[in-house]
Amino acid sequence: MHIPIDWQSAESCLQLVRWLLFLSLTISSLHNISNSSAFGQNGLLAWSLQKYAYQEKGLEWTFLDNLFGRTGFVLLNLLRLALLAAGFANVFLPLVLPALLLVSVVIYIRAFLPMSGADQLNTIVLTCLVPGSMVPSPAIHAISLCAIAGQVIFCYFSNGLLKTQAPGWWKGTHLKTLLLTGNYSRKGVAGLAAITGQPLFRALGSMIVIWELSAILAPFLPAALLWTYLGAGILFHLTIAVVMGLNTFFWSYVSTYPAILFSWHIVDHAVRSFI
Amino acid sequence: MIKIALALFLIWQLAVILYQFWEPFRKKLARLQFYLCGLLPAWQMFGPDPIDGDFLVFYRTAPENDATDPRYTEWELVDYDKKPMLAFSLFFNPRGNFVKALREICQETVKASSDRNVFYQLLLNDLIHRCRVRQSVTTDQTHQLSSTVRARLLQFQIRWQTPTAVTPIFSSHAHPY
Repeated sequence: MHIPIDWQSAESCLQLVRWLLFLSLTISSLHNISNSSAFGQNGLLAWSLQKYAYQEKGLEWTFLDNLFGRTGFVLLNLLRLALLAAGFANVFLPLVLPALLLVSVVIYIRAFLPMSGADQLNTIVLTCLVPGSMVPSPAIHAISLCAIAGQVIFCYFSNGLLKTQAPGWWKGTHLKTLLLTGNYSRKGVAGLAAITGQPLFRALGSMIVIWELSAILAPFLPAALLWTYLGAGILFHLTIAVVMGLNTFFWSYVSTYPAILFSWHIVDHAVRSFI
Repeated sequence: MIKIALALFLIWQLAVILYQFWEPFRKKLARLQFYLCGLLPAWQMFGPDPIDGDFLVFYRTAPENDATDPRYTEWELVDYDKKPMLAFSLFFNPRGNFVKALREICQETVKASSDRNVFYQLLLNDLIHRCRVRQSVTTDQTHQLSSTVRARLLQFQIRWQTPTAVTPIFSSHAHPY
């Protein structure tokens, strides 16, 4: 199969990272707009009440009443969608990316409660992309991609490390418990999990921990193994999206994979030149 | 410029590592986490201990003139967690993040156990709105004038559901609406 992307080219990888990230942010904004009634006067996340929690954190500006009400929140997301449209079209990127970061930060602050690890990673990736958009230097582009790869590899590794401390992840009991919940499973899957034997969960639980831990080795793997590793990652996030309902994780994490591939080439090149 | 960018990214990466593993550093910067919008994340997705249950929110109502001995309706579950269609679940699932918010709101409400708590008020606000909407629909259906709608009391309850049991963990006061 021919993939029309040069994984050794920072430009090419950055373009792919940007598009996947823009897709992730587009989905996130559509979710926000769809949930906007919750941000209104009578909603679960009404600003008129929630602002008291923000005041404890030092946010007491009165103009936030307009910005963080339902209309302001919808407008913020529409503005982000407009910026994303410009981003997809690759126009005014040196202006669009910093503006996108700013708007995303404001949205993050307003929607702090529903924000997840995927939204955190989106902010991280966006921050890494901003310097590259402002300085047209191949070296800065390469540094941006390596920074993205570093952050996501550390994320996987530290999540794996945390899970190693819980014997339940190795035994598979934690995975089974998770799949039996209502919020992070589906009825059919929960039913299946209830009747499935422990050995399968032990295998799956251990695989998740080992896969997350081995992220730290990704830049040093042989090419075929790296592709297998990333393929497993896509499958992992796809399953999480469909079964657990965490679809934004798929787009945020997969958006960083071109950066991992680019970093792999940098490491590979360095090792070859050293040998 | 290249050196500056490299140094900034390296310092940031180092800070992320320290924030994850070094407790005193995390405690020192914990107050800033809200403003950093995820730039200093504390990664702990379903680890070390996973989520082992769900918060369920129930409510019931009663006419307010029975305040001394309210005759409540049956407890009703609020279905906050509507699953998306399987085919669209990769692209569109707005309830996913919403459920996360609800879990935090329930957690904080149970922890605070006070009707002066912001999260308690948020939950109450949402439930009152749901009741009003429902009441107005019922009123329209029975062709009654809205002025005949009586003031009512609302009470909510948070229950913790595991695969084996559903346990009430918090009951609110009765609130007029």
